[in-house]
Amino acid sequence: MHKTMGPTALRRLMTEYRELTLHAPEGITAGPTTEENFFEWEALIEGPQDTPYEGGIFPATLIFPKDYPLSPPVMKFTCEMFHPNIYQDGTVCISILHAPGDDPNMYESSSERWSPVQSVEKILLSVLSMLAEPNDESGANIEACKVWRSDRKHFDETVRSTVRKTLGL
Amino acid sequence: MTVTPVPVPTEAPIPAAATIAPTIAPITTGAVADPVAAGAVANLVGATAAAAAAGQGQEAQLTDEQILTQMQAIKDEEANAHPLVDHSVDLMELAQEYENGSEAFKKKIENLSDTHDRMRRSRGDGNCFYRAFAFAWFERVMLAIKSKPELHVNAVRTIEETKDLLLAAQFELLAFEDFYQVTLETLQNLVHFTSEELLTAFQNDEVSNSIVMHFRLVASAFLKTHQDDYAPFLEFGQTMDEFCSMHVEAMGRESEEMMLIALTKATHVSIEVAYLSGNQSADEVNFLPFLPDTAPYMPPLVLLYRPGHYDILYRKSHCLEGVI
Repeated sequence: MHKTMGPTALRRLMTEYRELTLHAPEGITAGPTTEENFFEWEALIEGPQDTPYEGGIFPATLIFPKDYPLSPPVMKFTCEMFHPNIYQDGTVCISILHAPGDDPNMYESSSERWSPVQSVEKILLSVLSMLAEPNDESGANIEACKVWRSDRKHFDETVRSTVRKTLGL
Repeated sequence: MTVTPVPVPTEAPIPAAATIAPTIAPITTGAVADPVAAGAVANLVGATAAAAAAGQGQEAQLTDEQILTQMQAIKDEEANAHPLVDHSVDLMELAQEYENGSEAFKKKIENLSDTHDRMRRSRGDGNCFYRAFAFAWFERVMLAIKSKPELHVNAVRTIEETKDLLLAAQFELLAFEDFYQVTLETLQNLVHFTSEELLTAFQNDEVSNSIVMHFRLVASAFLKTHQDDYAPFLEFGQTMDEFCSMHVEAMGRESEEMMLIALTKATHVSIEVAYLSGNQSADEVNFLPFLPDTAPYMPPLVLLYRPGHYDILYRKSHCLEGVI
């Protein structure tokens, strides 16, 4: 499949994969699902400490466009996630996954945006901080936003129960 | 080094006059004075209205993401009707575009044709300035490869030096090396390129967009490494990093004068921009020079600006060898 995809994209994804393998940031594992297709990755993200996500390991997919890194990938959790910035279908909605001008959630002008200077590593680090600090200004899951704002205890409980599910407990 | 803020001679604001940026609200027909962009914008406005109507009618069946996807599709369709860089055409073709248009445009094009004979269109995809600049420069170098080989030597050295500039601006090698390589290789290949091969390279998405991206990063790196000079021109307390990330480093973001100044100075290549607007008060086209800090080693590249869009202009004095 990747033969028809962009050579620049493939070269870049291979470089990023090598870098991530050599210097993986703490709490993150990511790489192509199969060696035949570098345009579909799987990632595992550890829930950050001192957050209700702590202890969880969350699987996600990253699908890259053929003109990557000119355009950003789409990231989607494949497990149940209760979070203000994650759609019910698992799609992650944070500013770094959107090019400037592409503004589904009217991000603040100072928020970090997609451009080729970003990378898979930077996306995953942003997702880690998103888990630690939800942004209820640009919500994707309205219910999660409401609960996070009005009843933090209930929010934490709900998240912990999804974490237990993820771990198969 | 100091910066002279360049005055804008037209009535239209330069940065976002007719941007085809997919922001939904600010596109108003009043801002569009340019038929090139106007078609695309009209389509977008139509699509937005349709999308909005659909949303109301069916209880917002379309998500924001879907609307953006649709608008992107319309934009792509519009863009695909035109190559990234086109064959050069006689300036009279530009005049024909305005046959039923305003007298002011016609008069200005007539005046322009005293000194310029051809033009070359760059696709209106938000990258037109960078693409037009790169093509015009590389073409100039290629056509002079035998008569003035030093232009090629200078250009190669300049591009090689941009690597240091990018590193100095804290860009990661991983983030720019592919674009840098493609740009350098294309430039090195000019030694044996024909005009047709150069055009083919610039019409290829991979090559053309890599070169655009490299020049974007160069402009960004120049602004970041000269913050003291340029940050005072930023609005709303924006930092230079924010400005570059929002307006320079991402594909499809329109350029404004700060980017022209940055790229001119970073590459030591001078530009003259012919501002063609519907301004009734003058028959002459205004030319704005963008000069490097060092003495220019070749005549300026000439770009044609119509609100929201850049194309390449050819001045009569240095005729193209073998019109493409």
